[in-house]
Amino acid sequence: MDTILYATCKRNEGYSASLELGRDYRVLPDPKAAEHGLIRVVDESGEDYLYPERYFSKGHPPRRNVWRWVALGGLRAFYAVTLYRLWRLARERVKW
Amino acid sequence: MPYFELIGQIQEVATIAAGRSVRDRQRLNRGYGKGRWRKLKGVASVRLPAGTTHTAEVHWYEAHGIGRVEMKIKHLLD
Repeated sequence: MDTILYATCKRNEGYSASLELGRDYRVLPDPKAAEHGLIRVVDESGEDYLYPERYFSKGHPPRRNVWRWVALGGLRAFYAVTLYRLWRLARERVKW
Repeated sequence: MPYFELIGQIQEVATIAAGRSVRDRQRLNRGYGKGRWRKLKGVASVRLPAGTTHTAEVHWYEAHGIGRVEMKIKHLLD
């Protein structure tokens, strides 16, 4: 059985406050709703509601923002190198 | 514009959130204009896109001067 945990919103007509295009939403299992072409989705309100299946495409669990971590790591590395260079400079001047 | 059709009147209308309790308040203000938003629930007959008719618990947002928006189905009761 194919279990979908997340779905990506590709349409949100009439629900611009509840659904954001391109965003991943948690899908809850609801076999009764599936019989009618609906899926149960936890929307922006934080509650689960029934929406048409055509409003979503099968998604994957949201990936962590890898680039954010790379950028942060880069910034920390920059700070570390800068501090090291200042320390080296200070040591040369003071001649510890 | 909801994806389903309301048949008849909504029964057992009750307010479930108002003012700051409405989580989507900012998104509603952005999308529909500033208002004193309330979240309400009720029971109504709905016709789904497939053509079937059901009794369902529906939730929606409402503000004075704006009206009823984003009606969605919480549960199918039959």
